[in-house]
This record gives sequence, C-alpha cells and structure tokens, in this order.
Amino acid sequence: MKNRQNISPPKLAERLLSWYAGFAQIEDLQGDLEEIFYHEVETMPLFKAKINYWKQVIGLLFSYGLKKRQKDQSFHHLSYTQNNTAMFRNYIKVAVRSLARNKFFTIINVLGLSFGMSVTILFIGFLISVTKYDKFHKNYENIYRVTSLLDEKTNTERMASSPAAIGNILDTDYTGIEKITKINTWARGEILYGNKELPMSGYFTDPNFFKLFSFKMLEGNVKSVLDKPYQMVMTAKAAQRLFSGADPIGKVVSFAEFGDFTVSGIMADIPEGSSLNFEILVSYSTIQALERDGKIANVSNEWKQFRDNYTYILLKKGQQEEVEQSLDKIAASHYQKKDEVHASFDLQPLGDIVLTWEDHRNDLAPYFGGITLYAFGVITLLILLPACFNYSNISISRAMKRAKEIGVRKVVGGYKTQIWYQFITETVIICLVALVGSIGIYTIIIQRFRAMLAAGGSMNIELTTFTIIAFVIFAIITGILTGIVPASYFSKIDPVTALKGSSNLKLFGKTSFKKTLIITQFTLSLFFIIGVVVQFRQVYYSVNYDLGFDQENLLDVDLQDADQDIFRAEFSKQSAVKSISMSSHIMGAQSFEKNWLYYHDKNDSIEISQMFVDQNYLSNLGLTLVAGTNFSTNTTHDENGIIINETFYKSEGITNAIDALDQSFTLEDGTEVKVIGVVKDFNYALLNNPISHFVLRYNPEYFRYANLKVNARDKFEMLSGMESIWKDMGQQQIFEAQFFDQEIEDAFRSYSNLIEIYGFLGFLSITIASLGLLGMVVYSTETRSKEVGVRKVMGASVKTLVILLSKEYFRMMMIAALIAIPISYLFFNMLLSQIQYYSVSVGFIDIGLGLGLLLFIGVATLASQTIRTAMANPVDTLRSE
Amino acid sequence: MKKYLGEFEELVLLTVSMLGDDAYGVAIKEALQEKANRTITIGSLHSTIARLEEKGLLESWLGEATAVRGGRKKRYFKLTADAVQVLQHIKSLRDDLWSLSNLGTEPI
Repeated sequence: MKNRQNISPPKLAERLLSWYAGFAQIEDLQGDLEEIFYHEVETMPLFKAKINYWKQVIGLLFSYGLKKRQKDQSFHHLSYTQNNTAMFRNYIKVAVRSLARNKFFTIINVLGLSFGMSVTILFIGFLISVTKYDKFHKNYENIYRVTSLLDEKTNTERMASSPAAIGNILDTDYTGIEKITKINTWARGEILYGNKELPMSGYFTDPNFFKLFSFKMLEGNVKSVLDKPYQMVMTAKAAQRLFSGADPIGKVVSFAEFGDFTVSGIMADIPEGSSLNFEILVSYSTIQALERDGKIANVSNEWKQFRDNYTYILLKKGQQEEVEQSLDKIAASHYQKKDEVHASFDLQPLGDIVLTWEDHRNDLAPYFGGITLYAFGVITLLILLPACFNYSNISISRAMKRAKEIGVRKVVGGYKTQIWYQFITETVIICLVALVGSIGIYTIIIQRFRAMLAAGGSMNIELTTFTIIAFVIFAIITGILTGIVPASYFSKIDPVTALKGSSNLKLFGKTSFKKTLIITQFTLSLFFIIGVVVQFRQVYYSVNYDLGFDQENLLDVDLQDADQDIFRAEFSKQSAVKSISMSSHIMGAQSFEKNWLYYHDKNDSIEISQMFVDQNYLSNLGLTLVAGTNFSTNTTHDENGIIINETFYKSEGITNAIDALDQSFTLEDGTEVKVIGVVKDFNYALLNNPISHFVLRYNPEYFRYANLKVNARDKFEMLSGMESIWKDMGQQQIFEAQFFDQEIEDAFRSYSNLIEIYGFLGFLSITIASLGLLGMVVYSTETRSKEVGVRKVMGASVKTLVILLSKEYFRMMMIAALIAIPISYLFFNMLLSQIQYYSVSVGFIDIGLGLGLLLFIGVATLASQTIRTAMANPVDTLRSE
Repeated sequence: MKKYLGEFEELVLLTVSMLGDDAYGVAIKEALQEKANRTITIGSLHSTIARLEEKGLLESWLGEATAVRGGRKKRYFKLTADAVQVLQHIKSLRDDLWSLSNLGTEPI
C-alpha cells in the first residue's frame, strides 16, 4: 500500500461536485467515488486514477441520478403531482380570486392592456384582410400578371402594366399558358342613358376575363357577353344606378367619346377583397374598332405603350419557369435597339399583388406592402409594449403583498414551476379580459381606419372566426410574454424571507427597471403629442401658403354639360361677376394630367403637368407673364400655343425667358406645339411636390370649370341669383359652385387623416402612460402613508409632503422630455418634408404645447393621489396595524 | 402490471438481488464489471437507479458511517416486491418464448 497520507482525490473535482449538487444528498456518491479512487490507486498510476475520478465526476454531473436528488431536495416528494388539469383549474381559481380582491389594479391593468392591444389587433386584422385579397378566385394559385421593368437611362421603373402586344404573342407563339386576358383601363367617362348621365370606370377586356377570374355573371352568357365590339357588361350596382330598376339587357348607352354600346350582361357586384375594381367591362374588340376609326391611339398590338395595359395569365401547373423564360426571350427580341426603351418582364402571382415589398407604378390594384406596413408594425409595438410593461411593473411593485402567499405555497410544497404557471395564468386571464375591451375598440375604429386607407374600400374587414381565433392566440401570447418577468420574479422568492417579514424583501432590479419604463412611456407620449401639434400647424401653414396666385373672391363653377358660350354670356350680365375664365382643372387643389413633350431634334422628352385654360385665366388668377403673350381669341393659333412656367425653361438650361419663346415640341399624340409665353412660377398642384414643368394650353373642349371673379357683399344672394340663371339656361343638374379658397382648404383635408392617426396614438399612449403612473403612485403613496403620517406629526406641511411624494416622478417626466424632444424634432422634420415639399419645421410652439400637455396630465395624475395622502389625518394612518 | 424494463435496468436489478445485504454503489458497479464485463461510471449507474426508484422497483437507505470512505455513509439498495414480480414475469415470458423457439431448450 502506498502512502495514503499524500494521496487524495483531485480537490477541484470534489469541490465541483459538491458545489453543483448544492443541497442535494450526495454523501454516498462521494463515498463511492472515493472508494473507487483508492481502490484504483493500488492498481494503476496515480495520474490515471485521478483522470478516472474526473471522468466519474463529470459523468455524475450530467446524470439523471444527481438531477433527481436535487429535485427531491428542493421539494417534498408528495408535492409532485401528475394531475395537471386539477392544478390548472387551481391556477385559474387563485388567479380569479386575486384579481377580484385587487379591483383597482385589475381595472388599471385591463384598461391599459385593452388600449395597448387594440392597435395590435387592428394590425393583425389588417394583415389578415390583406392576405385574403383575391383568394375568392378559384384559380388564384395559378393566375399571374405580367409586370414590366422599364430601364431608362437614369432610373429603372417597375410597372404593374405591360404592353398589350405581350399578351398577343404569348397567346399564339408560346406554351405553358392556359388562358390569357388583356385589360386596358381607358374605359372611363360619362355614360349617358336617356337623360341620365353618370361617370363610370372600368376595363376593356376580352371574354377570357371570366374564365380566369371567378366573377359571377347574373345575366348574359359568359362566352358571348364580351365577344363583339361595342358590348358592355355592368355590375348590378352600376346598372341599378343607371337604369333604376329597368331591365338593362339590350339597352344602348352612350359612353364618353367611344360611341354607343349595348349592355350585354350584368354581373354580380365585386366582392370585398378583390384587387380588380370596376363598374363596367367593355369588349376588347371595341379597342380595335376605335383604332380603325382613329378615335384612339393605337394600343392593342403595341410594344411601347407600357401604361394602362395589363396582362393576366392563367398558367398550366408548374409552368412558371418556362413562361418566364419565354418572357425573357420576347423582351430580348423586341427591345434590342440602342437608344430605345429597354424593358424586361416578370410574372407576379395574383396572391402577391396587394402585399409585396416593391410598389409597382401604374398599378390598378391597391397596395399595402412596403415601408408603411413596417411602420405600422413598429407603431403597434410602441403602443403595446408600454401596456405590457405597465403590467409587469405594477405586479412587481405589489410583490410584498403577494410574498406571503407565495411563501406559504412553497412551504406546503409548491414547485417553483407551479408558482410560475400560476402567475402566467393570472396574466393570461387579464389579457383575455382586456381582449374583450380591445375588440370593442377595434370594431369602433376599423371602419374609420378602412376609410383612411387610400384603397381600403375594397378591403374585406369582416370579423370572421379565424380572425377571432387569431386575436385570442395573440392575447394568450401577450399574456405569457408579459407574465414572464413577474412570474420568474415571484417564483424565485425565498419562502424563509417572505414569511419572516416582507420588509427586507429585495425588489427585483431595484427601481431602475421601473424608472426606465416610466421614462420610456412618457417619451413615447410626448413624441405622439408633438406629432399631433406639428400636423395641425402643417395644415394651417398649407392652407395659408402663398401659392402665387389670387384665391380671394374666385368662384369655381362646375360646368357639367352647360354650353360655355351661353354660360359666359349669361353670367357676365350679373353685376357681381367681374370677369369669367374657363379651365380644365382647379389650380392648386388637384393633381394634374401628365403629358410628355418631345424635342424635335433629340430623342428626348420632358414630363410635364398640363392644364387647359382660356385667355382670361391669367388675369383672373393674377398670374403674371414674364415674356411672350397670352392666348388670344384666335382659336386655331392657340391650340398649338403653350405657356410655360419659369421652372420649365430654367431647368432646360435656358437663362433668359425671352429665349424660351418659339421653342417647339411634339406632344405624345403628335400635336406640334410652340411656346408663346412664359408665366411666373406658382404652386399649381398641392404642396406635396416642388414646382416643376408646367404647361398651360388652350382648348375649349377640355374646359370643365368656369372661374368667376366676383365682388359681392352678400354671397348668399349672389349664389341664389346665379342658381336661377343656371336654371334659366335649361340645365338639369344642380348648380355646383364653390369658392376657390374653400376648395383649396378641402384639398388639404387628407391631412385630417394624419391628425386623426397621431391624435389617436397620442391618446392611447398617454392613457397607457397615465394608467401606469397611477398604478405606481397609488402603490408608493400607500406604502409610504406611515412615513407621511410621521412627517406630518413632526410638522411637515401638505405642500412639502406633496412635493416629497411626486418629486421622483416629476424628475422622470423631465428626463423623458429631454429624450423625446430631440428625437421628435429630428423625426418630424424629416417626415414633414417627406410628405410635403413645402413644409413647416418643428418649433418651440410644438414642443412647448406638447410638453405642457404631458406635464398637465402627469401632474394631474400625481396630484390626485399625493394630495389625498398628504392631507390624510396622521392619526388614521399611524393607528392602523 | 405494466412496468417495462430496459436491458440494463434488468441487469442492475438482478445484480442488486445477487449482492443481497451488500448492494451499494461500488459493489454493484464492480459486480456488473465482473459478471457482465461492462465498464460503467457511477453517474450512469445512479441514473438508472434513480429511474428504478421512480418506478418503485428499488428501495434505498443510508447505512452506517465507514472508516474506509473518509467516514462517508453507504447507500444500500434492495428490491421491492414489485421488482421481484416484474423480474419473474420477464423470466417466465422469456422461458416461454425460448421453449417455443427452435433454438433449443438450453440457453447457450
């Protein structure tokens, strides 16, 4: 036997084992190990025995045997139960009891979470609605549309449309395709039947339309309704409007400049959740007839007309790749010449049209993807998270009240996991109750929300079982995630300390967690409030912006179908009317038609906004000519003359306005035009865009409005006088007139949407923050009531006590302000200039007002609690217990 | 009675029963090594023992302090009545199957 005094098992391994085992009973294991070690030392070298000892220890660390012993040590073995449902029922019972006992905190939490979750379920509902688009088509999985990627020298443009010739060639020369339908969106205009005239819009399309898409036909044969030229299909709603109940089939209507059409079919109204929205369908063969008659530009077999033409394909199963290759071949063979347009084509699945990352130009479908969607998601979290943190925060603050309960549970054998589950259950129950409130809010705001979306009208927002299930799952997940922090905190409470007396119970993370939370909440609230104020100012600024022309005393009359000359003659007799001009648009309030001007010599073009006006327009609106002449009354001369703005010639590299005169261009339709005048710059469109190339043209055919310069003391009298003249002219329609400045104000009404959104978010955010603050203050004043009592007895005044109790929270609000102000300053300045070229910037007023409101609400919340506590009679607070 | 045994579990039970009053960790380990020629760690042995205890097939108690092991106590194991029944059941099942098979009556 070797000298046993000097030989012993590796110390480190021994210590590792006993440290790892903790309180577990391992004396026998250690004994076993040591016995093996000494046994081995006699048969093998010392180092080998030591290595073996290490092996044994490591084996033990990972063994179930040790784990079991650790578990046995922490809990009495009788507390282990396999009966989970009974335990679960117990969790629910305990949770409901505890929630019922603390009504005040339950209400605060439910309210806060209801508000917080409402935006998220709106988001979830929105996502579900968006993914439902077009799913009602039976073949939707195999329907694709051809999109074009237009490659111009300076930029590439992804378009939803594709030249009509693509459809023709794919149909005849390539395989893999079941059906193709072509759509052209030029079918819009006034439809006249009898003496009823209604504006309608729709598509030119072929009979395949009904084979690809699952729109239902009510009357008429699907195969023949769009077969021949000049046939028209109407939706039931449109037919009802036009024919008011009479049988529409076979009736002849006159449609804009296109001619007379026979109504050949009536289809069911388009269901919600369709990306294609139209009132009428006109047979595609009409286009060819119109082309032959020279009534419209050639389009039905063109390769360069990218806009307004769409190709939808029903593919044979699994042929996507082959068709895509065909498209590449087609693109390569038709767009190969230098200096000309380069384009390529792709297939986009019908299901992806509404929700993709990339926004397509010239889209006929609504679009909900991209950055807006992400912004929506982030805002959702910004509202939801504070509400969740509120809950965790308030729960943990109240830990002392629950500590005894947890202590007792543990002493009688409650597992850590059981305590954990109990608190999670409690949170989930709160979230489910709050979900009821959220769904209430949801049903109120969803209509408004849909109305705000640019293309929301087609959205299906019905509350289905699926949506409800999604909401409930969301609420449960929120409950679990929210409950994790308090649950893990509570399950860790040491029963000995909890039962000995709660005073020395250490609160989780001390106060920094709480503070961070309150500061974050107030930062968010302030951010949203500043947003609301800034948006208000933006609207005020825009409405009062000097657009560079007169808005005062201008009355715009919608001409409808009144004869211009008679109108001019009759209305100029009115004493209140000083002068009359005609125009195709309302300046400053509408967006304009785009057109292209082509240089003669170069293969280059300029994108312009155009408007048709008469010779009185410039003087009526107070626009000044910089060079050249106004339109005269000589019509033939004027139709080829254009008046451009200063920006036009400056950006074309001409320094002097005079030099821009007599330049000539070709319009897209082939008309030759010549610059006859240059007008001083003015904001012709809304303030969204910078002033760009603008062209005034003369063509009475396009006049839609009469602009009356009036001078009347009694506007009402003047308007009723005009109305009677209107009637005397034999007009059937209602006299529609509006003052110009009013009209511009209306144009900015879309901003009210933004104000509403910020207002709502601000309201939610500040409510949640105040609820959180209230919870904290109520708790802290409650626990400090004895301290306050003692201080009062010692002579402290109510004022000093209130300050003492609110000081800390006030300081946190100030920190929040310090964080929120720079962030909102940077963010809103960026945002404002993004949405409107001419915009305000965040100033003292916005920040001051926002801060004022925040402080007011915060201080009011604080005061409501602290003053009561400070005023309380110290006898009452000190006597208790 | 639905209690299934793994092969190693069965070996451990039989070894414990073989060792009688002297069935403790190291003894079981060495017996297994000697009879079944298996080298195992104390960890894996105790994992199996812990599972057998959970199944109610083994009982254990701490013995007296011993001088050899640095004064540490030994934990002794003993089969429960259930264990005996399970083992007998397994054996009779095997015998039955053996006798019905064509491998001969005597196990090799």
